[in-house]
Amino acid sequence: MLSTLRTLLPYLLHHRWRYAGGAASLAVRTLFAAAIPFALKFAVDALAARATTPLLMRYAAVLFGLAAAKGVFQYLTRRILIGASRDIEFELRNDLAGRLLDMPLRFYSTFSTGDLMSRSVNDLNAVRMMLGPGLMFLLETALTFAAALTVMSATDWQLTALVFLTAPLVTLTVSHYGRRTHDRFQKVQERVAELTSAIEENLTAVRMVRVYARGDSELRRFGARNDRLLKENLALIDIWQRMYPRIELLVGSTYAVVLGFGGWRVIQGVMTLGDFVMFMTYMAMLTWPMISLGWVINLVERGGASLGRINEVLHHPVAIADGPLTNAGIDSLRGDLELRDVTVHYPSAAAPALENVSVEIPAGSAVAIVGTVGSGKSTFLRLIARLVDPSSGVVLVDGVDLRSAPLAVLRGSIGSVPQDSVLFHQTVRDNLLLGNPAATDWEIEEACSVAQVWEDIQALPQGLDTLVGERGVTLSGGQRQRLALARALMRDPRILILDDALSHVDAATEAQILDRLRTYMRNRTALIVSHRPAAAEAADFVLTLDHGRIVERGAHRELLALGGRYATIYRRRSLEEELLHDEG
Amino acid sequence: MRAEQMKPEEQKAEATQLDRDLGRRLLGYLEPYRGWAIASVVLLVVHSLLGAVGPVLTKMAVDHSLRPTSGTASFPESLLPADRIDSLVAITGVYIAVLIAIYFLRGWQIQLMNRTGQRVMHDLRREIFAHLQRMSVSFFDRNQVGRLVTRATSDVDALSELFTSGVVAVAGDLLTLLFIFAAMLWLSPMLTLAMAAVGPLVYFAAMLFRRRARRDYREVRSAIGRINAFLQERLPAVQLLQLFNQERQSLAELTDLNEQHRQANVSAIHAYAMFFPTVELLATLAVCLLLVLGGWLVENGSLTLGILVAFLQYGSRVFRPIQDLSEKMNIFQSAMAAAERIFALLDTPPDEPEEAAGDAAPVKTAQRVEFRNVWFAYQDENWVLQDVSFTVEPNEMVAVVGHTGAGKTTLLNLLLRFYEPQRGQILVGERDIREWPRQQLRGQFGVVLQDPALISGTIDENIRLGDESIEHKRVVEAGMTTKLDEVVRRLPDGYESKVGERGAQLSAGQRQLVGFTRALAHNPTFLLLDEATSAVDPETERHIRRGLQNVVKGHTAIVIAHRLSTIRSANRILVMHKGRIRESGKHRELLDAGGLYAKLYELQFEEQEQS
Repeated sequence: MLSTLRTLLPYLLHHRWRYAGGAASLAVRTLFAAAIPFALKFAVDALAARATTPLLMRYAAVLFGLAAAKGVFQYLTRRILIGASRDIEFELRNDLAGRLLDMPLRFYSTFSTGDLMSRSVNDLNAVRMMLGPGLMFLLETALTFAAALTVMSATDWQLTALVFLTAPLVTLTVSHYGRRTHDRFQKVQERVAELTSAIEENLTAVRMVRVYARGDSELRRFGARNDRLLKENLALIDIWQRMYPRIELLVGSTYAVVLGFGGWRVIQGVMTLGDFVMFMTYMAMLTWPMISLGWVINLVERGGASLGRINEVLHHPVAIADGPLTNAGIDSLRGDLELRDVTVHYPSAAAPALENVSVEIPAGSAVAIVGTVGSGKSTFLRLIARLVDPSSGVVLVDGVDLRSAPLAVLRGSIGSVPQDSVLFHQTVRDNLLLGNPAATDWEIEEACSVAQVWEDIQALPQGLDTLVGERGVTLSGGQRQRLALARALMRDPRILILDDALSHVDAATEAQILDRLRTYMRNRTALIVSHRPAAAEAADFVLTLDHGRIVERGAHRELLALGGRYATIYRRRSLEEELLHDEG
Repeated sequence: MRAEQMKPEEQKAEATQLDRDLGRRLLGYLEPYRGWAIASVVLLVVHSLLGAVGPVLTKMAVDHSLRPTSGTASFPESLLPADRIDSLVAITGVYIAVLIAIYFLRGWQIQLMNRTGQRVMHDLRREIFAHLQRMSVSFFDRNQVGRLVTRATSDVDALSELFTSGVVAVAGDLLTLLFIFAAMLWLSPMLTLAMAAVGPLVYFAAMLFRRRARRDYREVRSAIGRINAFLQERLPAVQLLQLFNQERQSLAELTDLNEQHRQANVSAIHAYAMFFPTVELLATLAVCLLLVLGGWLVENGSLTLGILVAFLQYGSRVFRPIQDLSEKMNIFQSAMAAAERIFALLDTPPDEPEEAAGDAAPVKTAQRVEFRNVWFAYQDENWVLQDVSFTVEPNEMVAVVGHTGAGKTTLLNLLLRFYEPQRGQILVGERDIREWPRQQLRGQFGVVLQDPALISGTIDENIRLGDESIEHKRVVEAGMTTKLDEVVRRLPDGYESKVGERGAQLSAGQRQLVGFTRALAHNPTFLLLDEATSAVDPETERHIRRGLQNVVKGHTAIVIAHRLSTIRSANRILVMHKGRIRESGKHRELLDAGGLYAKLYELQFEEQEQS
């Protein structure tokens, strides 16, 4: 627990003066709060002595003044302490996001997006609750008890001792049942998940259910899970049924003590009526801290557990980053690439994705990479941009180890168009500027016309300023891919990587794009994975991959003549094209 | 009338009316649990009554024991023993008795109220699910499954919040308030008036707070929503951002959203930090009024000290329910919104009505199937099928092939009456399928869909699908035919092995075999097979090919084939292309003709060579 909490230390230290200020304000608030019942005691005693109205008015004024002062400091305390916890939440979330943005590919195959979102939102909130309301109520309870105990035991320590017999019991009850409620609630959530998936299964299988007229048996199946959820919910109620009456009984019993024992002390003349009223008022004042303490204990438990989950991300090593090999002197690249005996083995995979691959790609050449699903094409491309590092062997750029090029320089020299053309929910312009934030409108137009998407953009309602995605304009698969291409071209890259980047673009447009690209790529290195024959024809040479190895290499014509794996794939794809365009 | 055209008052009136209608409809669900509900309300009333007793006892103790007033004791002190100590013991005893009574009443009340609530939610979920079972296939094509699932889960949860988060309990608090008010009036109308004077101020503060807090809360929610949307968009694209050196830029964007979230929260802190001290200050104001006015009355001799002390005790409790109510209003509103959505779904009439049982009893002998000039479009004039005609003779196996999007699966959707064709007709056994009651029509088909749609449960359950009339022997026989048997024998629990959520424990090929076995076990007149489109591994391919061949033997069968290896033996092969039947004939003939089929076949052949 303590080592988990250490993560928070720098944040707490950063805000130490605010926490100190908040605590001071809380102490002042508590002094005023504790003074109110004390003042009331004098007022009641005066009343009992048949005080005159002007005197009572003075007491009333004092009471009101105390309450006002208490209110001001309570306001300050909340603003300072809860505000500080919100600031720490803010900082922690930024740091967490910064970390996530630096994480390598492998990290994202271990953690799902939903999981990471829940850590950045729900877990962070649990930590925030611990640092804000948790800490505040903890302090408030401690100080209030200290102040009230001092005044009360000075008045009648025996009654005080009796009254406080039950206080720890209240706290323990709340904490005990609070924890059980939490555990039970998670079971309810599991049942809800189970029921949800039963409904999902049923609704997605609607055709099957209708064909086999299985409505009734599905209703029974659903019914069974629905019953289980009900049972779990009822078990939760059983806990509440025990918790709430017990808390009420324990709190009520303190009043009974004041009434009986306190009343007896008044009859004996040990206590005044004012003291009696004061005790009553203190008990009312202390009820909430007794309950909140039990609640705070659970807040801290949950916050600790959540912090542990956040630490898993914060302390996860960033595998690919600039390191000791980095040569800061490299500020630009030419684009000569070489793989020397490179093997990539993903941790969870049985076989390596690439095995002993060696190839030289001179700057300015265009290479097509061909192969079936899972042959290692994408891994090949990932190596170049250092989204993965080789398990063994070495990748060289311009004759030096790829790792000596600073990441920013390497990636700044690469224009990459990935398989799924991800566009963000922003304007078309902002999506394009991702490639080069400093691009002028003229450069945007230039890149877009090479990618054959400029006319499409002109046709959009607000042109470049049209919003993409939900609530904006929906673009076709082909348009998205061409925008992604334009985005990459805008980087004016030394190395262009196209990972099956034009699959949704029709063949005619693709031919036009390839035609424009030919000029564009004249002195750039290009790595192209495509399912279309045309792309391979346009390349200087072709690599055929199979099960992570290069099985054929050479120019398109040579490989076709060879009649091997490449020739088969090529013919098959030509046939597919033919079928697709057969209009009968 | 459209909402935006109405004046605000009208809108408000309509909203109140709507809440009332919803409320009445929800109350209807309490009918089966009427006894419990009534008992729960009675307990609530008694509990609230007892909750108001404490200060009255304090008053009695003060006036009779602590500072006895001179003269004869009036009611309720006249009930007490004359001795000060004795009466104090008696009062304390009564108080303890009340505490114990509250302890039990409270427990029972929580049980009864929540049990009733949870049972109502249980019934409501069941009703929603049953209602969905009567909806047509096209309804599910129009409505997202996710949204429908929400109706039966999250929306019902929002309703049950009414019980679990204590909106109902607030009703109890209000009752207590009522009893306290009654007790106060009885003790001293003057002081009650003084207390009541502060009431409107508290109410006013609560309303201000509610408006402010709701606005802030909404802003916080929407800021969190934006953060979630951002993470959901960017986290899967982190590699892309890294490629474009955009990590810092994205972080800056998140920091912006994060800042909006913080701002909204700071504003909310202000509202909360203001509200609680304000209400407490107002409560103190009430105490001050009591002190001054009460002191004056005591001096006059028209008020006992005990009453004043009792009022001071009430003073700290009287404003609590008003405070609670304003906080729980939001829960109430979202519950009502959820109820509205749920009832809107329940009020959507089932578009697959249960038809009166027709005279067309399923015929178990072989029949022919005919498509006559069928035209069909899912939308407008985008024809998926154009003038499709073909016949399947009894005991004939016809295969339908074609490239993706040719309209093959649509044939099946029409034959099973998931959709109706716009033109032309479909005949089964010389009868138009529109004359068949849907269930009887479908009952004659053994169907294997692209997605075998396995449900969590055992293999046996997935084959019989709840049809208890299918004997175990029949399941095993069917399994032997499809060779599912070989798979099952290797599993520890045989046919009783669990398949997991959507059959995840089985391989894709094994799932298909379960689908084949299911079709056979239901002893169909016709077989309709729609092969899985997705690329599969060789082992799966082998499973499917064998299963399919074994299943179609001796049946009138239509096989929609995405893989051609399985259908060489078909009596006839129909080649569909862009919604039309372009070629028809036997495997050899079509191959020799060198048309579309020949191209498709070559493509397939090479794919298999590769794998």
